[in-house]
Amino acid sequence: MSRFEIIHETRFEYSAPISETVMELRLRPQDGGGQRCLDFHLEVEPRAGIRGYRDGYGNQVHYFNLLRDHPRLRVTSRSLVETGLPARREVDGAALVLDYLRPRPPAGDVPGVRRLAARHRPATSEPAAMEAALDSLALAISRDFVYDTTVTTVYSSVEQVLELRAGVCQDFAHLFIAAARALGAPARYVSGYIHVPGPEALTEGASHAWAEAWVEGRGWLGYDATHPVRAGANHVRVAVGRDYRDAAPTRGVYVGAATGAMEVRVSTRPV
Amino acid sequence: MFAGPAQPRAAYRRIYERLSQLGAPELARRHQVAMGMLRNHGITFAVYPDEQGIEKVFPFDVIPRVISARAWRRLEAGLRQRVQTLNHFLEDIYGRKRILRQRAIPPEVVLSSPQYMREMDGFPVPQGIHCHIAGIDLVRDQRGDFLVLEDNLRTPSGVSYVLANRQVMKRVLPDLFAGYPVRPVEGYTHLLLRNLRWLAAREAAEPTVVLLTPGIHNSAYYEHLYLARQMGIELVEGTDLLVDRDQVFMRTTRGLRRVHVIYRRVDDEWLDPVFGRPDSIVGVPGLVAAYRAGGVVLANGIGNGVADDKAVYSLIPTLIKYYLGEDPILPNVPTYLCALDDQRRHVLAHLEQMVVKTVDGSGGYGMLIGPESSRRQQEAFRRQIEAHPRAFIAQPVVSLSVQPVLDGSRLRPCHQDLRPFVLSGPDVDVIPGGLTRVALKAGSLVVNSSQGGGSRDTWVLGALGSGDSEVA
Repeated sequence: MSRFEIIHETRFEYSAPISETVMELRLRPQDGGGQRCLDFHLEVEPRAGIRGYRDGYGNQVHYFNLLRDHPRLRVTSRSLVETGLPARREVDGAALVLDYLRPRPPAGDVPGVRRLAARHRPATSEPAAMEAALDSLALAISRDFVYDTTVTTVYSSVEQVLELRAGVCQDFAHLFIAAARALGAPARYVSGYIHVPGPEALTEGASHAWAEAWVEGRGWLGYDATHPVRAGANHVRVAVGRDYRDAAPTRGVYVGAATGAMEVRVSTRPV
Repeated sequence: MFAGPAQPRAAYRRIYERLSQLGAPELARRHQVAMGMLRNHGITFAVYPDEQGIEKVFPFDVIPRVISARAWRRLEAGLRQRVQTLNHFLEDIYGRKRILRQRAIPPEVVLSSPQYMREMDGFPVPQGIHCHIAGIDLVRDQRGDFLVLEDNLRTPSGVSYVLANRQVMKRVLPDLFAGYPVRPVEGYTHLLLRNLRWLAAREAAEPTVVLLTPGIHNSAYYEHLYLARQMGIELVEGTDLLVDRDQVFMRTTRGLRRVHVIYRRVDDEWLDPVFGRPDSIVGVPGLVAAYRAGGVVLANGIGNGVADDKAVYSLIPTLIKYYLGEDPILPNVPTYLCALDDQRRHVLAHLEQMVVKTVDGSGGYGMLIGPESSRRQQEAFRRQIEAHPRAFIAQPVVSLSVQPVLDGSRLRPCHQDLRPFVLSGPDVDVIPGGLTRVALKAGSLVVNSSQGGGSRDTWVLGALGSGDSEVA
């Protein structure tokens, strides 16, 4: 069992004051799946009334409308999370997750994805064979693709990642999801954090993303194609969805004649 | 309309006699007057692939279609049964998912639909109603039975033609109505407005209802304008609305005004850039969150497309039995799911006899009409079906009933369909009538306005008349 304090700060700076921001936040770590959120605090500057709902994926969503001029915006969340708890295994319900098989961009059903999937086809139809095939898929992605923060954007598709042979955790998660679906395993995107001790961690200072695949009799299993490991006690799950867009920490629009820049800082600290 | 060569069925005898008495030149003149009236009403539509002359008057045929009281009673019961079932289905799959857990239907057919929106899972829609406005497309086969061709549960259009066609008929050929107890269709907008206001009755004594349109470039813009005017409500675009603390407001010259119910004619994906496509400029940022919070009601609900998906369509007879314990009153057209291996093989082996459609398409675009298609078109569809089987269904060509249209001064047989409109509120109501679309291109089976179809007034008779046994 581990405990982490996570501070996640997102700053938006605009070239001129904007008149409206409407934003949804998926920042609260989930309860369940082997973790528990002990404390959560959210702050928006300038101050705005924060409301919430639970979306169809089970994510806790916070949102606000800021209807007065503002040249910048800061969203800060502080979470205290316990991980590595015994997880309840979801063994039935395969019939209810079949929508996670449907390909859609950015994790589209493109020839490169099919070729990648074909190299990791499970040897038998046993769940254990699928589980192992997905391990080899995650391993192959981390081995054959270069971690590079300068080549892709949050909008990059798996085609682009396959061409570049490089990307970041989000891209590798999308690629894993697309290939897992091609293998017949329902797969979803996980947005969250990873705690990697030491300064050489790949995702230092940023949020993290990985994937989960549904394996018959085992339920959702977390595969991190960046490191590559099974998601474990150092992973903190925040939101899930079909892909990045469903689970993104912040998603919103602003109204105003200005250009914006976004900066994100994340720190995870064992406590 | 004809029982045999030049032998009009009983219900049409008087219509036919009066039209003959008028004579061809006079009939042609009245047809011109009718088209002029429709133009003045602004009853036009936009056709996307046609670069020039974007707006057209939906061609109008002066010969009405007559439906007997008895045939209508059955149709009405069937439509009510179908729409109630579809609503139960949406309530279930976005709620407890009983039908999927019990595997009463193959769950993969539902969950693989591109229109299944998991984001709305678990959201209890106001009053439990998902499809406030439904348009159900029917055809009549050569035996005279009505079959359902497809369901439209998202933002169905066409009702403005139903209303306008009736107005025009009464002005242009008033004599034709004599002796026919034609049921009025004019109650539609009152009923719709009543239902929409009812949705917010708990929120406000005098709820404000608006119609949200994507704007002037939408193919149904004139219908939006027409309906808003008929209901006496504001026609708004996304930029006219804003969301503040879970409430929706309309910008007016006298400041902000609270909006309680939105009859939206903007598709799910474009409704709110925070919810759907981030590049949507026709939506309202934050609208869906306000809807979830109960600050505003949307009609229709979000995610209805899964119930009018053409693969899910093939399951509807089963759904009717499952949710209502009844036998379907209106049968489906036989449908092959290309996602299933054996059915796909059958389709590919008989492409030249099939109508192939994409599961989430509408408007008659992207269809293959087997008997009218070339080898090359068939091969192109074959490749697409093999690459994306879930995206296609196929139906055998239905031998449709025909009714003559006026072609210049001659009568020519044409295929037609019928789209009645079903409103769900405190009750489920079907307006007595509907949009009858005719395939005006000689020999064509496609009746969509975007594909050269036209329309005619549809008369539902109020009492059992002499023509009751033989009505087309």
